Amino acid sequence: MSDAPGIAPAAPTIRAESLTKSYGVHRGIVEVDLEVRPGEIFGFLGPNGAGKTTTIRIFLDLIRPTSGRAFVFGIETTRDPVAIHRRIGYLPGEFTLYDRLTGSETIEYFANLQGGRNAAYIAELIERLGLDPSRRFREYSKGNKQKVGLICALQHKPDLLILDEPTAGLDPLVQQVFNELLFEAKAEGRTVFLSSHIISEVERTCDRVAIIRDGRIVRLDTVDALRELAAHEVELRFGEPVDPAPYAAIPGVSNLVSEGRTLRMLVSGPIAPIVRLAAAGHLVDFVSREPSLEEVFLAEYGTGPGQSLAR
Amino acid sequence: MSAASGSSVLVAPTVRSRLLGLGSVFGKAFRDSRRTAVIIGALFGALAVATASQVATEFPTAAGRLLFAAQLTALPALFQGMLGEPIHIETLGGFVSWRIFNFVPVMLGIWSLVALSGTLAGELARGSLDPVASTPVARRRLAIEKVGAFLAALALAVAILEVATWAGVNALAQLPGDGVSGPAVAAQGAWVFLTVLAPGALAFAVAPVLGRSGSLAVGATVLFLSFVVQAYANIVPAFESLKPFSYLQLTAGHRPLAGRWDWPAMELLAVIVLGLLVAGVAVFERRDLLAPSPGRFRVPPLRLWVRGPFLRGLGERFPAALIWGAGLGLYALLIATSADEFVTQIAKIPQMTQMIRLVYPGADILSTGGFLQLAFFQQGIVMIGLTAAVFVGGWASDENDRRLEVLLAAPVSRIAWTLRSGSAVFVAIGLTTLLMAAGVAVGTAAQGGPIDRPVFGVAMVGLYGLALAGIGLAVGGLVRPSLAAPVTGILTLVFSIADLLGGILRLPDAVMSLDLNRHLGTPMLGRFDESGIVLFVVLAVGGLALGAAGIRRRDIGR
Repeated sequence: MSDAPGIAPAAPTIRAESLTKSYGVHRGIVEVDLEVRPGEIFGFLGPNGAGKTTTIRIFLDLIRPTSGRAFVFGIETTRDPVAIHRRIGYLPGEFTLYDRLTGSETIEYFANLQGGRNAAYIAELIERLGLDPSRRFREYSKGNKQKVGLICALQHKPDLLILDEPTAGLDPLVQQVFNELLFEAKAEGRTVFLSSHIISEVERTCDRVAIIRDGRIVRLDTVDALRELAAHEVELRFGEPVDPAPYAAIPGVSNLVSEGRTLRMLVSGPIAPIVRLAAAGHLVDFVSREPSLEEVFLAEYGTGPGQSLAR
Repeated sequence: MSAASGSSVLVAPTVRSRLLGLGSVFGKAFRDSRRTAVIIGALFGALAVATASQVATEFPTAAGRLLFAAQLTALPALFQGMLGEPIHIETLGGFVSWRIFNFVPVMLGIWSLVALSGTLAGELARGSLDPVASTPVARRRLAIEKVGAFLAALALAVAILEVATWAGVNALAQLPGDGVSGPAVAAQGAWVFLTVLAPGALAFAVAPVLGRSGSLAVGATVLFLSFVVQAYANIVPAFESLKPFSYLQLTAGHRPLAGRWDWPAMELLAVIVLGLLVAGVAVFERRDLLAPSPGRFRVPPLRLWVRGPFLRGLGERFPAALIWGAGLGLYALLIATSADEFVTQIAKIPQMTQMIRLVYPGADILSTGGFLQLAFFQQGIVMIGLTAAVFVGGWASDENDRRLEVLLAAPVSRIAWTLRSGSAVFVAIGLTTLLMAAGVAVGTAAQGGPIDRPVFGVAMVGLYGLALAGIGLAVGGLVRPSLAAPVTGILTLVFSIADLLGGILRLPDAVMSLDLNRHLGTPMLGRFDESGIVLFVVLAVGGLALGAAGIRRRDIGR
């Protein structure tokens, strides 16, 4: 995503500067730098324990950074968290609410804490997500508890939605409704910070993605750019046997396999040198498969099919 | 998006919902506790009125009342119960103040402890604080509103109690000095309010650092010590040095219903309580919202603890059993080592010795065992009952926290799980009792007395704890797990109160026989109630069996 030329980039909705949090001997996050732009859906990818929730809780001033600073709407999180909270909706990754309150009472309570109830929009959300608000919270299934949490986060139409594993427990139909709600928020110019380890969800909804690993941001770019960084699977078929050595010498080529008139390889980075070299020979067919974000992610974590991103 | 979403009319919460409903943190917290407040206020108010009524009916003349008061005042402190100095108990206000109000700070103090230790730390541990703290309610305001709601609920309970006392005592007043003035009732209410609040305020102040269970333990220790020190400071030399730490001792001279006032002490306590609450708010505001994990006592990481439901249950209860046992053992040791001095003093007063022998005929009351029976046993059974409630609550948490569903997916039958995990509760109570017995044994031996009787007496305390735990397990199994610990704890307190007030209220024998405390005998003196022992064994074993049968039949995860 880039800003139009000649227009000053809007101030980031979220900005983290060398954000570090340690829990005694345990690692939290280390030197995290990121910016989330207004109106975008920003994905925050990482496996369990990578530091996603720690980062979010610092943005909300629920915990304070050991060093570094975080700004939301240009306000330093430790300075005036209430001003930030007025404009956000938050869905924690793990939460429990009040067992004895019904779904509608729970939603009403959080609406009141946000300043008031938008009854029409709440009713719409309840209908779209298919929630029975008359039951007590303790009686809800995991998915329905998640729906209550989502409605609490969405019901005041906040400028920034911070969602930690929002689709956990939701069935595919409700996940679809959830995606619609995200796109509606984006269309209205609102910002979404979506933390998840479900890569397909991030790939489907997000404009940009940060990948966090062991408390550090290891990648931050658009989904397309991240895909570009990953190794493409390339297959070249020639009209005659071909010497693989020149291909092996090209930077970024790995896992090169020669089978008669066919060469298979993984290519990280620009593919043009391969194309040029192949075109100089008797090339019959060229197949290149674009990697999914999942492959990018797995490669980053070293668990992909022999892939490793160029650093 | 439907047309409805275009509408963004915000309906702000009403003043009523902000104060009494879901319109604010204060409103919701007060809404959650107002029923408890009304019940507590009405219950103790009714007790105060019933006590006043009993005295007015039994002693309608000034002479009769004076004689009654003189006899009670002449009793050694141990025989008066742990009620402190009797002040003007010949008046209705004085008697109610002595007999009822002196217990209120303990009973309501437990409510204060549970509420204020958990109002933030408990919610944080459950995971419901993050969503609230992410709304535009500043942390300081969040804490202040939570505390404010409890203060309002406590004020409501105290107001009901005081209004009932004022109305009841004045309606029953028939002798000069019986009536109580509005200012005296209000001043007594202020004392109740502050002394109930004190242990909770301490727990609230340390909860952000120690977590809920740690702060509960600190507050409960201070409450218990304050009460015991106030009651026994004059007869147990070891408690003399603890006097400054007892907030109940500090305000022992403030009994407005009895016509005695001590505002400087009240002001000092008010400053301390306010300071603790302010400190709690400040610490909560500054610290990360993380469940604290202070260096609390942990079980050794043995593979033993994961071998099955019994050892797992025991592993969960083991640290608490050691801590409770060590605390109670230390208390027993202090009491036992004070026996000689007390006995020497009593022996110097032949009339007193004679009177004690009338109460306990044929028993060697002027011995360490006798002293322990008088000074330790009643508190011991209350403490073991509360210990049992804690352990039963831990047992029930397997189901309350939905671990049981995972456990029962393993090839373990419901009955086997209940019997094994319930047995772990019994063993934990046994361990606590063992440590208590060790304290008694060491203290008694230091006094040169035989240790067998007191140690067997402590065994009776343990058996009483097992019986209460059996009741809790039965209720948890048959009805629902969330009731197990409250029923155990409430029965402990009800039995204790009934023991204290049954005589005053002239409850029928059939009712009084339901009080388990009436079946304990005087075991520290070597006198056992055989039928009581059988009853306790049946309650313990039968309760566990009933609990197992209940869990076998009903749905899991109620």
